[in-house]
Amino acid sequence: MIELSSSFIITAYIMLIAITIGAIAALLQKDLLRAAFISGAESIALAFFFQALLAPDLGLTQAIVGTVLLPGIIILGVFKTRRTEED
Amino acid sequence: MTEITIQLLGFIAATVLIVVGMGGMLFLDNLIKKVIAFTLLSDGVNLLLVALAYIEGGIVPILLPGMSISEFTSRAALVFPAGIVLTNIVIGVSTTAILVALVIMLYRRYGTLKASVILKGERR
Repeated sequence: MIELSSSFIITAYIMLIAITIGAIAALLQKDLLRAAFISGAESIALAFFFQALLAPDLGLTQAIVGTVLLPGIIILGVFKTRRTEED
Repeated sequence: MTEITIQLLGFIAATVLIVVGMGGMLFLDNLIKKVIAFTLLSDGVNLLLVALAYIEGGIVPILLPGMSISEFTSRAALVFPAGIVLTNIVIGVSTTAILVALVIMLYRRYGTLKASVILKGERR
């Protein structure tokens, strides 16, 4: 039996920092298109965190859904409305 | 001083996501930003449930050949929160799609994305 969970703690540390920076940076952008892309990057960090927490099926689903579908829907909304945040 | 485990790091990350998402939903003015903050909040709740299911020193819940049932049930991570979170991820996509559609309808009617202007009710 391979002990995977002891080596995953380095992944967990890096992804904790990535999730924190990505979540705050996505909400501070003035450009809404860039905010959608940064939320996708935060979502793939969350997928790696699911992998470290012994749920690889949720990691696969989160990687596909959070990186392609959610930013795609938000980008469609941005193109239908306006791109920059007005003052 | 408690030992730092992956579960504790998961709880910290879930707390950060929930606080940032709820703060964004409450205090940001742009409607698309509110939708992005809602997805962050949903991710935080998912991560909290998955971190609750983690078992220290456990294995992925797949029954491999040569493994006894008692060893599997004592070491495998819990599978019920994984089922809830899998449903929640898929439902979150459709909820976000409905939110974006409502934002587009509000923009067509009011001509702006600012919630403070829309709440005054002045049509274009």
